[in-house]
Amino acid sequence: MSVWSEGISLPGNMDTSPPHEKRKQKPKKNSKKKKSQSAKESNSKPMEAKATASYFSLSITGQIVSATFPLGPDKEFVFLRYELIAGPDWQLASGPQHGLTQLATNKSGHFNEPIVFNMPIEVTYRSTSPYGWPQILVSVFGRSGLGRERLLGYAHIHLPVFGSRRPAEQMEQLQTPILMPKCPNMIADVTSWLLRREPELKDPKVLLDNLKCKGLAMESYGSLDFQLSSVMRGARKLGYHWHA
Amino acid sequence: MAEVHIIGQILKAVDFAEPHLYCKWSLQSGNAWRLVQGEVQGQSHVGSHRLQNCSDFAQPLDIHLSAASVLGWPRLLVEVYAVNVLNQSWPVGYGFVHVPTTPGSHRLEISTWKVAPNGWWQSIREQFGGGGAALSKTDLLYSGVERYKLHTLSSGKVIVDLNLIFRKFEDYGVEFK
Repeated sequence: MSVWSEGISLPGNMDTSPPHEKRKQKPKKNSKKKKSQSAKESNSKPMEAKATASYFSLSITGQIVSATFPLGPDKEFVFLRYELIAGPDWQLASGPQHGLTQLATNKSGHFNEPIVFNMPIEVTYRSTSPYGWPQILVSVFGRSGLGRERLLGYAHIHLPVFGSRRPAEQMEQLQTPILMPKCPNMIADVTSWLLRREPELKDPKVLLDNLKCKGLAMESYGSLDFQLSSVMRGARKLGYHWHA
Repeated sequence: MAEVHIIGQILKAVDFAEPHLYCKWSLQSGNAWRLVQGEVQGQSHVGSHRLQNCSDFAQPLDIHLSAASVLGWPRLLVEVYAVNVLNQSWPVGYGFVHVPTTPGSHRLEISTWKVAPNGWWQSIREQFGGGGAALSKTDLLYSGVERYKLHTLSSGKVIVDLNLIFRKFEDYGVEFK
């Protein structure tokens, strides 16, 4: 299984020590994993520090299942753009950090049927502390048949913290509301209706911050369904208690 | 030192009479608890729903505390404010809940209360004049000491999703059963 053998993809953390030396520094690595022989290893000094300060790894598998709008989506085709955001202690070990889904529609069925995306999310993170637990931030866009694209909202959720508590045959189903920014005052409302330009957040990460979204007005309409499960390794050794 | 991680979201507010709400939250704990990383207070955006009468906040919480004693277990205080067309805001719900004492994922419902109007004139002002009365000392929220003379009405509920991770509590002899 070569999932963990891909190099750490963050710049500024490039290791130049040969792979077998790295294996010595981390004796608790699973013997089934093979070190990649390619040159994309990280710098020796931070990697040595990381080897003595042990880390745990978190593997998330799942999908963005569908989006449901109770009175139908405002535009015909809907697509999503997702981004994974984590704190400073977290490193993405494998998997894409951004993604763009297909253009999906529910035109042929009933208007409030879920619009299925079935977008896979498979990432592995490595960290020394649960602070800054990764979150997935999804921007929902709509596109009419004539090609005009428009923002339909944002949704965000923490990736699941407890994966193995649920029974094995049931993956965790998460549902998040889709929030659409509203115009700050009535004049902006009238202008946006006349010019057909709806407000968009310049940086949707503002929704993840505790103090920066003061004064923002959002309307929630629709929900996004996720099915995500997590596998963790190495946390118990560091003394963390996930379950009672 | 034992450590507690609180990771979750303040999801939504339901059963409130007003449609446009925002939530101010803060996490308070005793003297033996120290904040290592994260923010202990925040304010959400103003949320409303197109069809139902609830407000989605989806305010993420990520707090890392270190504890020297079990005394002063952290509490999450929530104040829900309503906003009207003229952008005036007034509190419509106060509530608090203790952070659960077992690790795992919890869904909590915070029932809130608000200050009741004192007479006919205050009820009119609540409807049309930009809101009802507010508490002048917010430590009434979590202390039971001086609540005797206060008249309150029940208000809606705030739903919070918390995941708790504990660390090194066993080393100090604390058991969770």
